[in-house]
Amino acid sequence: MIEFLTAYPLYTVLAVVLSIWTGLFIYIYRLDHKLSKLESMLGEASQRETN
Amino acid sequence: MNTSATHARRLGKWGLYFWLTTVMIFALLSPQRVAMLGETTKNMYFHVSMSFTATIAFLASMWFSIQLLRTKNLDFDLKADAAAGLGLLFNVLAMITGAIWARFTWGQFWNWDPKQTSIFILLLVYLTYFVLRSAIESSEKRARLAAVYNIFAFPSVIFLYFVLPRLVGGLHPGSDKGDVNPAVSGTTDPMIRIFLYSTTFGFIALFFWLHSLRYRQLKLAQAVEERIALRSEHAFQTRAVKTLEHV
Repeated sequence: MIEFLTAYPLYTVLAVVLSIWTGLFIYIYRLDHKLSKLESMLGEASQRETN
Repeated sequence: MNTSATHARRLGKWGLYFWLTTVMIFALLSPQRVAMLGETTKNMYFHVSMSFTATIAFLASMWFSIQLLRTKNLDFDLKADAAAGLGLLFNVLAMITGAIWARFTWGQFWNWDPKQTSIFILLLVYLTYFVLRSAIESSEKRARLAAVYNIFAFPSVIFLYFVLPRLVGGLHPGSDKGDVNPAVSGTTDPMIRIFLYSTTFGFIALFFWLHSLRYRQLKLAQAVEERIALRSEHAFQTRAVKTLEHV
């Protein structure tokens, strides 16, 4: 693994870039989920008030 | 909640993840080079796609502004706001990535090349949009004035990104005679164009996802604000009634 990455440094760059992209993707994905939860919470609350 | 729509959305998100991941792997490992640029040819797939995405963001923002003026539905104002904000983000990313690239191919970070100058003016144009928004108290008035400004701002994007850099000489490709397309041209290796359009497609999809998140956040903030206003009004009324009872 280490020999391979030393021989082809571009793969190290690739690993770095893909880690960043994966991390950001998971973050955005979870943010989306949290927004959905917040929306349904607010929706329920305003429904309770009108009833 | 509509479950099939939720499934489709989840599929779209993971589809975007695998699309951009695959494209990044192929683009970064590709052997294609533009002679003058050498290894940094690969920057094109990321730097150029940022300004393409910014253009789409500003176009979307103008579209929402037109919809606002047509329908008077204030949700379109939030959508235009979210799109313009993301357009600014991608615009700044294009500036930063371009400056880093310029340091190693042109010698210094900032050269006031026609494209660097015009992207800087664009930054000011869209910053003004937000300054204008923050200066108006009433939401209906803010929505209408910002929409009109936004509709007139977009033609400047076309002129500054696509027209002006082709008219005057500069450091960006396409500025010299004979090469018409600033990013890629008919003489460019077709694989380079495929990589460029693939990353651009991925980043535009990412823009639309981020746009929906930002819009939903603005919408939630608005709902919370309304509830707070309603509650304080209610509290004021009960207090007034109590005072009157005392009298």
